Amino acid sequence: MLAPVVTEQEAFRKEVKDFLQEHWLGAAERNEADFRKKAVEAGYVYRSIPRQFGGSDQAPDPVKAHIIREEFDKVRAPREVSGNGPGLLVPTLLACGEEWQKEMFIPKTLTGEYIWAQGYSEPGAGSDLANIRTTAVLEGDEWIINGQKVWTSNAHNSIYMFILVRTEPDAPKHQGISYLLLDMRQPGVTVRPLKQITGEAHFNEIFLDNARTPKDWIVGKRGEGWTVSRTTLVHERNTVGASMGSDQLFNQVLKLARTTELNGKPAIEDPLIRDELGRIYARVSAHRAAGQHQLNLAAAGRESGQATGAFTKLYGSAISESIGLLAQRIMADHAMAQPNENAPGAGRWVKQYMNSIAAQLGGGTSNMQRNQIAERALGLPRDFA
Amino acid sequence: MDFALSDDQMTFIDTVDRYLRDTCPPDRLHKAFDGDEAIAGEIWQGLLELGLGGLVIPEEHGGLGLGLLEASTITERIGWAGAPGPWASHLLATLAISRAGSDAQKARWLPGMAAGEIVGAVALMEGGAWGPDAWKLTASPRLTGSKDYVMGLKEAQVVVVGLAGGQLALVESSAPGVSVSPWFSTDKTRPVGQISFENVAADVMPETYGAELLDAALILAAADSHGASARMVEDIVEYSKTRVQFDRTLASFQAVKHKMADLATAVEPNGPLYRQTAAIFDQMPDDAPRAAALAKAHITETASNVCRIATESYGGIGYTWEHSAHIWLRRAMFNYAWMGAPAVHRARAADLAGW
Repeated sequence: MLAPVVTEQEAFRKEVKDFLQEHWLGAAERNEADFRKKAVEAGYVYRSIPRQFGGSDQAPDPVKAHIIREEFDKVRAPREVSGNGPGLLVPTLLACGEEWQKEMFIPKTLTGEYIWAQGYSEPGAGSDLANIRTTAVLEGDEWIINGQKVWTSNAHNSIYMFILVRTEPDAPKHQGISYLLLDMRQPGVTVRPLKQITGEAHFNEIFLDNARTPKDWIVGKRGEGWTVSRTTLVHERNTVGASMGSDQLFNQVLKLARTTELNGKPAIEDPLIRDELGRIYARVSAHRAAGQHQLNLAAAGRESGQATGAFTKLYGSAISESIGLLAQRIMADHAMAQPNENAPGAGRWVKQYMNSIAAQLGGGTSNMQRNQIAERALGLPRDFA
Repeated sequence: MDFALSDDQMTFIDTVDRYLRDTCPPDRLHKAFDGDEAIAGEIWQGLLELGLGGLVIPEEHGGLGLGLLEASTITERIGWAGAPGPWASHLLATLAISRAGSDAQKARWLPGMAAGEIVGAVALMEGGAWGPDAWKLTASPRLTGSKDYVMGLKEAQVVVVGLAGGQLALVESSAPGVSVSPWFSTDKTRPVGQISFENVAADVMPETYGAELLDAALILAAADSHGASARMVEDIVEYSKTRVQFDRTLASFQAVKHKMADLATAVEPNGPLYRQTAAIFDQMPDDAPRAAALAKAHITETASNVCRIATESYGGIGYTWEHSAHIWLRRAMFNYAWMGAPAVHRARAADLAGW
């Protein structure tokens, strides 16, 4: 009874392997964009996005999706472009956007040509996001936007921004917000990098001083921005905490354990390190299985549980922290300083450990996730809206 | 790896679940815990009457012909309910005979086991270790020695015994030379003990299936523990909604809410994890040993911690014998140790992964 299923799966795996052999491993010149175009044509990436917008429009098939992910990652072939655009904006536009907006923005976002910044948080609106003060006022055919956004990742590279603004100042907190799209390349937009604890500057502050955007660059109706943004937040949690990141990070720490000497022998031979690797890998597997379970439910048209994004994010970011701690154990003294750039980890694991803090903050802090889980999944009383 | 359950599978699980909810309310579990063998026997018999005795037995021998995915999902519900009875041991015995037995052995045992008339058990642990690498007993010409921590000694008429090289033999518990000694068990719903053989006639099965049998046992331990920990979280969450201190429910304190959220987060992915592992066992046997070892280690360990924290979260009432928390705390402690402790299996998994 089971044999045909396995055969079908294995046949598909072979098809994917052959594709990768021909177009990635065997390619005379490896060009990400060209390869991705072929992968879309073959139906391997952007599977849930319609063809007309640059996706491959495949029926949901969690098993195939899993095989594709596995085989692509094995040979480090590029899959979907990462970032705010494909991860957050595209699903939001598909759910709430006008047809012309989808046509105008989705295809070039999927190829990585349009890079997007997310204009959500403000100095006075962090966990309490609905408290935003940035305003947009309609003047003729344009919105005039004034205010300040913060924690905007990758803003210095972004062409566009999707932004939450207050358009109905007299409406209650959550009902006065609209979701706008904005061209960052204009005088009213000033981007200032924010130096973070790693010493790098992936985040920015954005000052909006009479920035302008066309009247119809609004997603959903006036005052519906909060609801529209919830679509995005759900996707963000799935992106930020998704198990793929855990998988990749695990493989990297495994490599570190293989290549680093600890007490005179490779760290991977140390029983305590092996135990911790097993501990973490089991959690990575559980995380992956939980994601697969969600896909299965979706594929079968069944309802998923409550607060699944919050569960995923809380679990995934904890794994990231554990991996950072394990890397420190393996690096030992090198966590204090590295004699040269090629020393184990070369400082990247120091950064990774600090980045795991960002993973617990970005897209809603871990304590906000706990509130969501407690309130939505467990039915415990609400704290504050 | 597809481990989604079909509508038919879910309907079947619901039937079992309803039976367990009806027959295992806390007051009855407490009686079983305190030694009421009639109640424990009745619950176990009812499971057999539902056809669960033949869950993995092929249809031609009167069973349901299902795989470990279905079996482990049922096991989760049994763990959730805290049901007494040698479920896992019997299921493993039926699996072993179905997969490793000769035609004659299958014909001799399986129809009766599927009908719920014959109960089986597995006897694996020897010299402090559970896996086939540690088995030293031989059955040629006769079987002499002992196995420890065997579940289902009271009920089983036939025992599957692990032999050197991973082979398995069938021994009738009534055969001359077989003796059993029950031990003082942590989990009162699943007593264990020692079985000893003195020059006993044993019927060796033709297929070597010891390693696979251990993998299956690890997955069942994980599924049972997952059920136990999920139950503990459900119960403590409900308690926190009703228990009032300082004129407010415990659940209204964020410290309590966040602890509940952390427990739920620890437990939530473990259902998909054990089901995926069971599907791997059914469909991709080459990957099963490592996946089963890691799932067992992780889920039984997580469940132990979760049950410990949930018990503590009740306050003093959770520390009393009359409260139900310790039923699942003990169940989780049992599963943590049964078939090998988490660290043992993590070390195995590391070797199997080629780390």
